[in-house]
Amino acid sequence: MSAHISLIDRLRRNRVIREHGGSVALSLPTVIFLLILFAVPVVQLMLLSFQSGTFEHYEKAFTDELYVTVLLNTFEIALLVTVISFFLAYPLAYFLIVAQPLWRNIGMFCLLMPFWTSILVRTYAWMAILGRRGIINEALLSLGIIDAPLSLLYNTSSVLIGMVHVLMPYMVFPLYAVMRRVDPNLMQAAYGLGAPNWRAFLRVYFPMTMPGVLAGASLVFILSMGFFITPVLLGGGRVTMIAVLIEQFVTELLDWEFAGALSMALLTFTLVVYSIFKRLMKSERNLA
Amino acid sequence: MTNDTDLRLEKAFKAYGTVKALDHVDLSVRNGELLTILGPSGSGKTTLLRVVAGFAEPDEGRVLLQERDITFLPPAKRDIGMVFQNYALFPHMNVAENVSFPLQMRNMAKVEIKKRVTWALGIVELGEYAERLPRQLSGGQQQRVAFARAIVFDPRILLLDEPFGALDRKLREQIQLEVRRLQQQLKLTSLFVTHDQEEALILSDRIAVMNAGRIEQLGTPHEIYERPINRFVADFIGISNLISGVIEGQDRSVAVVRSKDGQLFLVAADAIPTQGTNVIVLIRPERLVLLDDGAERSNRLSGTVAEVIYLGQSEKLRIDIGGGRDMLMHRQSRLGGVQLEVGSTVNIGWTPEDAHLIVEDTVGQP
Repeated sequence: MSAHISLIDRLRRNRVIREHGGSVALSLPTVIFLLILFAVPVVQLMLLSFQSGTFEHYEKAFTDELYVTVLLNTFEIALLVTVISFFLAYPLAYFLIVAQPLWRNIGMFCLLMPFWTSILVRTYAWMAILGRRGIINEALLSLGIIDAPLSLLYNTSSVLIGMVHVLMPYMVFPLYAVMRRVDPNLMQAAYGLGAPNWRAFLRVYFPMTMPGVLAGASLVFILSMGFFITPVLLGGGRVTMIAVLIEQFVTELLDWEFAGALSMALLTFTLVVYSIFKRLMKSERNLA
Repeated sequence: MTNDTDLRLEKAFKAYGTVKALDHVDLSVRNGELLTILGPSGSGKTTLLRVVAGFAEPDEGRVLLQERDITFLPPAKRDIGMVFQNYALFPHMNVAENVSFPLQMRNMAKVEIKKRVTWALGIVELGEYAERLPRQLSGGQQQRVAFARAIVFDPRILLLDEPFGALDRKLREQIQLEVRRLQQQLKLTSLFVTHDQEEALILSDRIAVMNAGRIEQLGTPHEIYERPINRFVADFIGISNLISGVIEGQDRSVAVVRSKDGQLFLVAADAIPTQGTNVIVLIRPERLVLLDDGAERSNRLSGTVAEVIYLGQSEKLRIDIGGGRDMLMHRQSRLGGVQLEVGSTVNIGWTPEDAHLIVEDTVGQP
């Protein structure tokens, strides 16, 4: 009898462990991985920035005009990339929703192919297209439209082109996901109630896709803030974003303490932006 | 077009591939009436509604709204109020915003909008809920918001696309009557689409029964139920006992019909087809009486009770009359009298006036 009870007890205890301990155990590898490779370095970086025991590095980062300019520049580029991506991605996502399956598949393929290609490869491809002896200049020269090559590379525009190209899918996919859930009946109802196409879009469709807009915008913006390879290669040193600056302090100037302070500034700024988007999304969810 | 007609379809035709969704449909909806398009799924009733609303264009024919040709007018310019199947309330707008939407689209003054929204919400008794979001409302309340939104801009006609389907039974009956009362009170010309024959009978001034893209019969609920024009309508509306036979002769306004197994039945009819015409005799289950209770009827059949379903206020009987055929009978439940059990032998009957004659030749035209 007692043997039976203890057996049942043991089974019960096992089930408790299976149900509750199981999820903890399953997430353990990820937790350890993130602790070692993410949390620890971030804390180290933070400690590094305070190694002098003062706020001097932060003071420098936020008062020295050079660094403030870079920070603002980074912000501006991230914002531009987000806005441009939005205007390109919104119609594209809508096209993917309404297109016939064949065209949808073709569109998805065109979107995913570059997405899976290395950023480095794509950035070099843009250099080959935009360069002094690139495809565009060669074509315009041979057609006699221009006499001397245009400088299309190493300016803010080329950085924007490259970054938008890389980041646009991050805008398209959340939009696509949200648009799929919009009930087509709602647009019909809007038309039937007297709304012309554009007003139905502005009053009904667009507000309903707002969660996707916010999700996409936050992804693109946050990723833009920390972008490195594309600004380095397509900006050619003339367009400085904060990640580029940080790299210079680490590898060239060997001022790890200041690099740490800049990194913390970037991280903080990113978290602030993230929390703003999150709040916006929350109020959207309450509505939709 | 006569003045009392609000909406008219003229030879409206629309095909999807080889399927004729609308097969040259003529239909007039009179001023202030509620006309129901009743049909099974795939009968073309939804296409008809979409053509009227402007979400689909007919391949041929015209749609006239108050003497104006609207066949190719975009939906936004038709001034038609519509209540959708799942209400299609805008989830990101509150009740007042939803109801004011059609007014804003008509660029009405703010004061006027406010006045009308208050009026419409008052009519559906939702004044208190103006600030609520649709998802904070019950199904019945959402339905009423959809109705308020559809009538607030004083539409020329109202379209109702199976608007009660999502409600549970008890609420559905209540809301149906409410909508009917408002429709009559506001004298709203309404076109109502449903597959639910009971709902159609309750709500309609007239019913158009649709099948395979055509209107099989158009008439009052009473006409449709009591005098179906063919087998399809008889089968689709209510429960029918159908006996096939041939006209044997006539005695004044009563036809004599010989059934396939040789029995003779008398059916009262205004126009009696010539001898030898194939006909169907329709007897509704509630017209049948139990002769064992002492009643006398000129038409009679005997059989055995195969099934008894007790419903409280009434009971349903399935009576096996031999030859693999059944008659269905409804009778008021009572205390005392003959109690029926499965297996009892019974005699049932009906008068010539209880039956309706359908000429078989009009059945199932392609």
